[in-house]
Amino acid sequence: MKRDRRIFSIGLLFVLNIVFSQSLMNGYGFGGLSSSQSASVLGLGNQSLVSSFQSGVSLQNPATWMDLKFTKLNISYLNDQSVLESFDALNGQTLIGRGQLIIPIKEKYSFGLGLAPYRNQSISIIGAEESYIAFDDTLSTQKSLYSYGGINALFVGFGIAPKNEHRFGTKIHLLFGSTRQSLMNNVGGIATISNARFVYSGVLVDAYYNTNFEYPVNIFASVQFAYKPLSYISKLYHPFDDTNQSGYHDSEFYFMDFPYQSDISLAIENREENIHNPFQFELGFEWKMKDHISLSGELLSWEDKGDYSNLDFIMPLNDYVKSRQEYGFSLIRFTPALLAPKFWDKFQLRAGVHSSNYQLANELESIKEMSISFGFGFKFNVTGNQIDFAFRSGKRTYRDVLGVEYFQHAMVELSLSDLWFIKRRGNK
Amino acid sequence: MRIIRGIYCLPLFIAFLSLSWQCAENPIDSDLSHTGLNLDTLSIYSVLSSASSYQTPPEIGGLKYLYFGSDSLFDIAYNLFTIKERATNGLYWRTLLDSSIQVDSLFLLFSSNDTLPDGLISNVGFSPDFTFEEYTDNYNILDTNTTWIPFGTPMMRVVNDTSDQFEETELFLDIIDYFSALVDTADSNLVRTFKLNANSNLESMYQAYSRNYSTGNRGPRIVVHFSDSTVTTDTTIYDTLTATFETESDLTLLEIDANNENLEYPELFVGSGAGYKTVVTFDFDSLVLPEQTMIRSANLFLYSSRELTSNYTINSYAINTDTTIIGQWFDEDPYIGKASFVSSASFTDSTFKFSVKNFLQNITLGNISNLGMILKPDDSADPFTIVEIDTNDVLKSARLEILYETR
Repeated sequence: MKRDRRIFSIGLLFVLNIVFSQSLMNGYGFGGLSSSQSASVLGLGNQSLVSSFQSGVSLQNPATWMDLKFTKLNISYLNDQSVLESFDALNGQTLIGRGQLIIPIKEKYSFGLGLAPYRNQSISIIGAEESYIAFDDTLSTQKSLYSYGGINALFVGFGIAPKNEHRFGTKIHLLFGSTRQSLMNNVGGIATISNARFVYSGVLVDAYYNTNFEYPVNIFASVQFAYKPLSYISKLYHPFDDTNQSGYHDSEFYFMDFPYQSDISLAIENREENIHNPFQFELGFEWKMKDHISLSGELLSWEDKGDYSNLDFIMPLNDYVKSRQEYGFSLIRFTPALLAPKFWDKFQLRAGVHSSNYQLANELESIKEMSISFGFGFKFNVTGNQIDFAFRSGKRTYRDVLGVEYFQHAMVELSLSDLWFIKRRGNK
Repeated sequence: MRIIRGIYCLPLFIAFLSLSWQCAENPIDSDLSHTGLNLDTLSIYSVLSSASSYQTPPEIGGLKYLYFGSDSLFDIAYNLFTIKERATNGLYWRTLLDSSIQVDSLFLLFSSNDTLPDGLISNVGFSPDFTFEEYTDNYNILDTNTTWIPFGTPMMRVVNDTSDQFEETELFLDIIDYFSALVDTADSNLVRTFKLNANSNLESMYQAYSRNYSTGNRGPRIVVHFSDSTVTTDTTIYDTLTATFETESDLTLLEIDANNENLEYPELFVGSGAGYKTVVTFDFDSLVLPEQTMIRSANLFLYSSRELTSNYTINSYAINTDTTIIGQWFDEDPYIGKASFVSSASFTDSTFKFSVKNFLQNITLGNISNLGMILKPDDSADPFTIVEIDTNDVLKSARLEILYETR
């Protein structure tokens, strides 16, 4: 037993330390989709509708939340890593994945709210060295672009089961966040820097439906649309010569950067509407093959109807994802009971395969993604606290120049349970 | 149960991982031609929309030399200088009146890197109350009411270096007889102003160092040799000492005829001795550079129709107050206090190349108005050279070259 625990600990450290992504996808449009924010969903290969957290429950599907026995507080922690073979570039980052509170009410209703990343826009790009002939002088130039930040979603979800066989749910995502873009052009050793900031807002709405028949097969469906398509307010700062190479527009006190800070006017502010307007349809099934073992699959179709035609936002890779299709299959073994007599029965096991196809707006060739994932969850305490781990590894194939990207995601998620809104009997 | 306790240690695992993990951010190589900050150039030939020269009395007090003599264009009759109250060793004039001090000699000295003719200076005059401003006064300051005490005619000697090569010419005048005039304690407003009267028969220009040459110690100066006695009970000790009083300010008075005959464009002149300055304007506002343009470089090229020495330097000043001038001659520069320094340009390959990057950038930013620029000779420029800016040759017409980036 002691040996098993050591293996468990070492294995955990190993998995979490080898993994993890500043993806090339962050350079398309308004950034790359953040990885699944729940470890249980990631373990199934990004299948968010079907049961993944426990039998009959997905943490990302409010139409399933009423099957929870206790109020849940979840928080996940994500490690991303990607290797771009063509550039010999290794990128990685860690971040808090998702935090949410889910309250089931009388096994008929549910309510939840939380915070999760929506788009990741962190990317650093170096352009090619070029020469420019100006007035008989040959100048060497090289551009670089640094983008930081992204878009987050504050969401509120509701679920209702008017009949036990039919569940409905909805989720409202309030999108917010900001990006800083810093474009540099190094000309003959002195860089001109142009900074910009973009502040986003928008509202997305999800609607969910799933069956809960006694039959072994149940159906899940969802649709997402933009109630208020994403918009941004941009602040475009005047470019400056970074003469002292500090990377910042220093004040004239240093008599270095040109023009002086006090000489330049305020940033130009613009507002762009309808820059990102997604419409998504998702369909899934779950087949209870044996007691506690299910096979599930999902199909997803996503399209962006946003207007990208007149942006002062720089799309780092000069393109955006116009549509996306995903499909995946997974196998899961749920814990048989809340208080299982055997140690082994406290574990849930998950595995899945997943494939995506991203169609870019300006490229005929699409980005293809394949991944496998696995994960496990461990239940402890009488209220069913749970810790979940997930690992996903895959590759994306871009157009020729960009080559292949290998990515890995690792996530750990802690779910704490308690009874809320229960009228307790007083001591007599 | 022990397993469950182990699980509680998980936050420690996560903390360890968070601290040990380092985000990696290797840049990606990709095409960025779709982004902004692209270089572009703009060349404008015959850029001057208007230009005119005007004249003021020469103000050449900031030069490194004092000038004497005359040539076909210029005639210099006088130089002025004022001696300081305090010597380089900290001694004041009044200290020389102490009973313990015996003044042995008092000499007025000038130095020149020229070979000077005998009788270059016919007379040195002294005034205890005449004052002048070195950088702004001109020959108009001299009036007939001032009484100049004649101190005499300086002698000349040639100073050779250790290898017996010519080093400099020194003019000296013994003024010990005028010691009381130089240290008049009854005059609380005593200034020690001297006027050098050049010989009227000179047919060339000669120069002596002014206080603006090097550190100032080669300009006009008074050297005092004196002995200071210290008496003890049975002994009197004599120290033989020297004090040098240097020049506070000096000025060559170059008189020119007031010429009210308007110079017609395209005659554009610059020259300090002749008092020529030129105002140029160019129609930059209508160039319509894109918003948030960052000017990388901007140069205004002006050609001289005459060959000049390569170190001849002209300064440009941005006019910051809308001022209309009519006529050519002005007793006082109409742009005093109405123009700010922009840049200097030295004569190279028949061209003066002025950097106007900051000037144009601030016009694009709306911080200043494009009211044109004044061209004036630098203090280092030979005052007797007159630059004529070429406006006849189309190929050599004024040109503006701008290299810029837009976001």
